[in-house]
Amino acid sequence: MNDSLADGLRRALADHCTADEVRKLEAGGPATLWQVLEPLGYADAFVPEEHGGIGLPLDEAFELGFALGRGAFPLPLLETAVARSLLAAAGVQPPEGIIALCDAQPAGQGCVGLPQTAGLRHAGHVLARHEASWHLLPSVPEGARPGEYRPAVSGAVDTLSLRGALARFAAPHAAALLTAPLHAAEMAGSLTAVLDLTLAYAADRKQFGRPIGQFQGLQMEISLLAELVAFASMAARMGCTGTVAAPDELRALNAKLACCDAAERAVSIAHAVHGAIGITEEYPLGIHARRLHEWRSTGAVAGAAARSIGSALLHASGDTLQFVRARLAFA
Amino acid sequence: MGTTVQDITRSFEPAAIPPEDEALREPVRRFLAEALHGMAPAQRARSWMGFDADFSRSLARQGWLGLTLPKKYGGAGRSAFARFVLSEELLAAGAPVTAHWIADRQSAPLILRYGTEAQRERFLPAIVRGEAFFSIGMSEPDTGSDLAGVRTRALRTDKGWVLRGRKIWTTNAHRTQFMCALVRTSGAPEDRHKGLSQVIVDLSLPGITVRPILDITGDRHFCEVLFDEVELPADALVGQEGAGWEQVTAELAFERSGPERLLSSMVLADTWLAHLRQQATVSAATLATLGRIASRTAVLRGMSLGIAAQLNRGEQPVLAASFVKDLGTEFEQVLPGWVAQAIEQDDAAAEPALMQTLAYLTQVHPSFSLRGGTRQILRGIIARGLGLR
Repeated sequence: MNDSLADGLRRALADHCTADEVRKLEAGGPATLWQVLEPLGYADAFVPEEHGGIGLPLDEAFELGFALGRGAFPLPLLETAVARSLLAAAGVQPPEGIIALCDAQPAGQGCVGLPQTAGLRHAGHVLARHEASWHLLPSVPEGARPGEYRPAVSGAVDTLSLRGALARFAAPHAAALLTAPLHAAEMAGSLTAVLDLTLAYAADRKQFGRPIGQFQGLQMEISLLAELVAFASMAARMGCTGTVAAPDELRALNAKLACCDAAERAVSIAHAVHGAIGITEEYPLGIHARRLHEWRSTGAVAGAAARSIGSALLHASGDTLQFVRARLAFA
Repeated sequence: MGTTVQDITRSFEPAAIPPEDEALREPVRRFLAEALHGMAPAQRARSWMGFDADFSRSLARQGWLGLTLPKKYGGAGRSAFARFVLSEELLAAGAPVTAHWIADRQSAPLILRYGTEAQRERFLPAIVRGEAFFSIGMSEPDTGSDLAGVRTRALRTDKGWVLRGRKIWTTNAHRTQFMCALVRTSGAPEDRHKGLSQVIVDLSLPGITVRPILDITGDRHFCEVLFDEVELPADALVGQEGAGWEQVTAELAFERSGPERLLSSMVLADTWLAHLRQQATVSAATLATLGRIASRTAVLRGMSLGIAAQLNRGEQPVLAASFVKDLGTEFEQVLPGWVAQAIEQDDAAAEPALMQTLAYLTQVHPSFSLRGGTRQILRGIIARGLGLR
């Protein structure tokens, strides 16, 4: 990716996306942070240049996701960017503002439900996939259920009609697949922030007359944390392949699976090192922890991703290494 | 020292194997399919603990020993990627590679880097031909993780050196011609890292007693080795006198990030996969386990390849290599438990060959994070790299 794009994003996040701003939003405040990035064009990152976007290919999107995750940007910028590129490709003028992206579930009587979806409660529009079609919904209905990890930001809808869709067009791939590599990149960034916080705290916090990072028991854990972060980063990089509209399926799921498994352990280590302060509202670990848990529980979740990969291996011919090289390795 | 987190993340850039090195794979696979035909999985699961000198020499005849050594010493002058391809195919198939493994992986690069021209000419072509197998003498009865405390001593004489002391847990000392030993050449154990040197010991010399130690599965691979006034020639010394610690540290970087740090349980995974392919149905939980095995293998392999790319560029990613060893051996160790749990839950009769392979790995996998330095020591090294100590 062109460096100035990533640098610009990192600068904007450092200047504006402070822990206080994230907390205000997550406490139910307005989505003012959206105004920081949308005017800079990042919501059009994946829209082709001929349609006025940046035209960033998926294999260069890792840096973007990593920066957003590390900077704890709390709104669904990449989901919006994917939605805008899909809309543009279908000849639909993308609307301004936040677009949530999800796979609808049948809810009976011609209605659907929307699963837990990042940023749903701030979305001006929802691009929902149902029966291999995208449906652009004009607004989020009243009565959306609060997000499980971020009640004021994310959310779900038990039942709604797709009749009021502003546009409909073919959806060959699930939202869970499209978001898998991007969420993996964001998770790698967020995990890196968790490691940054943990290293800083372990050097700063003193007990028994010395920094707690000098105790071997904690060193064993923090070393593993660093390893898990490196593991997640590698997995996410390997997963950003194919195109934004059609990521390589198994590589994308592999990235999400690896990041979910690494995040579960990494967050637990980070909390153990921090002690009580880590679970307070005022300390920034929680911002990353709940975000990581939200990514783990939405879109392509670890269990489903693992079953898809396992099923592909079972039905392949040849041994595990052959399968890994052909279907999961960096390409 | 303190490495920034950014540096660590950057160490793991994905790398692809160049086509010319990838081309080595098919001939290797064809060769292995024939050479290992009919070998029981539990035997193949020995992998880099499985000894077969004839097999090692048959690899040598293919030109596959010392692949990265310069052509002037008989090597193939190939890249780290070519070696990666060869190694991962050997290990995934469970080829019995231990006879030449240490010489190929550690001793040859050490001699190439620190040895005299005469030592290179003497040892490297012999390693390439599969005629010189090496063991590595590090641990002693009172010196394991605290390696700087070695007491085995080489005293200078007018003809060379006299070696006295004892090594233990030396893999293959009873069936290799040479040992590359870390010994004290000056000072006392209290001097720690100072005064240590590396010597190549011809294990046929008088005064050497090698006692194999039976392991918990009935195998004999590690040994106790006694040196009773063993006379070594002056040119037994490799590299600089007193620089043994630095040399050993550099040498250990070769052994931390290769495919042997993530594929040690792969024969079990493939034996289990073959079993599952014969079942009428496979449960969702088992599919997830299968998927996780493939997923971990893929990402760890990606990390290992990323390091191979750095080594190929002449960089020394010591910290990143340690990451691969710790996570990779953890995966090798957790895999047998995953398979055991899935077999229990599926409640389908598993064939004896699968259960024997599982039993072997269940017993030996604790050694995977011991060989080459324990997990806890390794994490201590990583903690230093992270600036915690």
